[in-house]
Amino acid sequence: MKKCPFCKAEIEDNARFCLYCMTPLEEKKVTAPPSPRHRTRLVLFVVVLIISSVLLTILLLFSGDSVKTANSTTTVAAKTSSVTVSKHTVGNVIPTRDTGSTSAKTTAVDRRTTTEGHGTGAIEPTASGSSQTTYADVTQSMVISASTTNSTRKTTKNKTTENNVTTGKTTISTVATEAAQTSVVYSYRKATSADSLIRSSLNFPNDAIVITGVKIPSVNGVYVVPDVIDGYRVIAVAAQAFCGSDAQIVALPAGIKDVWDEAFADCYRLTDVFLASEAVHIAKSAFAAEGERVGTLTLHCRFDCRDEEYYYYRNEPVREAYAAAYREWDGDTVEWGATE
Amino acid sequence: MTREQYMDTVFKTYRLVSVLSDRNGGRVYRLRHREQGKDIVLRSFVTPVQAYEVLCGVRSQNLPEIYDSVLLEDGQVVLEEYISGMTVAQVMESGHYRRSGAKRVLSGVCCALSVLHELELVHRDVKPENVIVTSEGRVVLIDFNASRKVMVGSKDTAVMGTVGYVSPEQLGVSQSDSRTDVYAVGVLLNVMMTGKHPSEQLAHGHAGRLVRKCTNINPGERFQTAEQLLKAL
Repeated sequence: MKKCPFCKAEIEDNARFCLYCMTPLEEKKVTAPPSPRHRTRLVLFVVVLIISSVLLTILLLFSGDSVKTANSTTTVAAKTSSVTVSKHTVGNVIPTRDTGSTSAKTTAVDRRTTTEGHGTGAIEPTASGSSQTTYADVTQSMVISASTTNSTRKTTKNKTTENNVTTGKTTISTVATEAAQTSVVYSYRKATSADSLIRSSLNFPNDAIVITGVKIPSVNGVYVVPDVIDGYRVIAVAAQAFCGSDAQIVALPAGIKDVWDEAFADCYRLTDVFLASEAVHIAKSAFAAEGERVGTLTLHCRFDCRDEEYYYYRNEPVREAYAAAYREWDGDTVEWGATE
Repeated sequence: MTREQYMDTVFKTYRLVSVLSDRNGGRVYRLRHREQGKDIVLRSFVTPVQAYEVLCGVRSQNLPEIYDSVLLEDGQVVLEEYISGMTVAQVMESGHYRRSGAKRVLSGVCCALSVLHELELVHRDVKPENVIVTSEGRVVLIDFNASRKVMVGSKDTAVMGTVGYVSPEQLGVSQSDSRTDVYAVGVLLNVMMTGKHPSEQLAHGHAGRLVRKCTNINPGERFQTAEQLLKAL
């Protein structure tokens, strides 16, 4: 027996609480509610945007062309120190037609296999230290800058030769930190015959998988989904896979042909989705959101149309321009919305 | 010392206010300090519950403070903070929750589960009767009798939980983990908003989507942690 240090009553030796004076005798660890890390990520993202826009402004001032584009490849480097994916100016991004063969070279290599069938989104660096994935027809410098906030659509054409790959389009520059992308773990499952019933024109190869969720999320809201996970080809984003997540920027590789119902529903921070495939079937509810978004959601696509800005309002259907703007995988062409 | 002897000591300083629960596994009493007038909860178990030992060293806004956990010859006695308020079940007797109310309550539940999961504990019995809302708006998740520590490679040896809130894997051969609680929270959300289980009537809109994701039959396709669910809320 021992004495309570407060009321001096005799209590058990290992007592952590004095029954008599109702005083805790041990210090406890006070836990706080989960911190709003998404706010920190948002601040970081804004800082990166500001820095990128300053750099672009300087570049534009010194380049001398009326239409400025810059080329770079999409790289997911193994060891880099910063994320430089940034948004392009609203209304200033024009995809170009495919003027040449486009080689979407993705050297994504899965790293980890778990018993649950989860795979990482890790991208194995090439011998030179980076891998290439061409993602979309967008101007490379996706930077919001004060000098380019006009709404005039401009056509841009450019060719780049990077590592002996000639593309008819610019590519986004995505340099993800090793921590940001290699730590992302996606859940997936094998594509089944039941899936093919949804998209009856689609023949799923035996080694195909669909992303069903995110087991370990990205630390900065950037998701660069690889073409291959654990040796399986990624061909679709399943229903509700990213529903309610904190995704801000998502890049889907060329192999993804389907984005199913509510795949990105209620992703209020989602501002940019890059689609590398030339034909993607996107469910109308894929980007449904009841609440207010942080900003405008823009889909960057290689479809045979211009980029559109897609606004999602509370309880309102998807804007018609978007609803008309996807191409069926089996080749049927849908009438586009507004024309120039 | 036996539980009876310990109780005799306790009753010298406290008087019994009410018996809150009397189940096979043990009893739960509400006691009041004879001089200070402050209430505590005393739980008496035949089979010790490890979760209370773990929670002894932790204090959280959304969990009752566990003052002491005493292992005795014939079982365990736990002294716990008495939370004065209404359970979600009692609130729902007068109607369903609105979205804002459900969100507030669920945020508290998710915060509580985050703490538990961080301690490698799974609650396994999240339901309206185990969520108390105080008059100050504090949301507290109580009753850890069904809780257990998550141990990799092991399986649940007994089915614990409440019908309707038990996830499919709890009835199978796999182990409960944080996603088990996520499942129950999904059911809780649906019940709060519609009064019915998701299989009978799914909530509309955003809430319905959250419920569907929480209660996906495949644990891998649910929110993986309470924190992810909290963000989605």
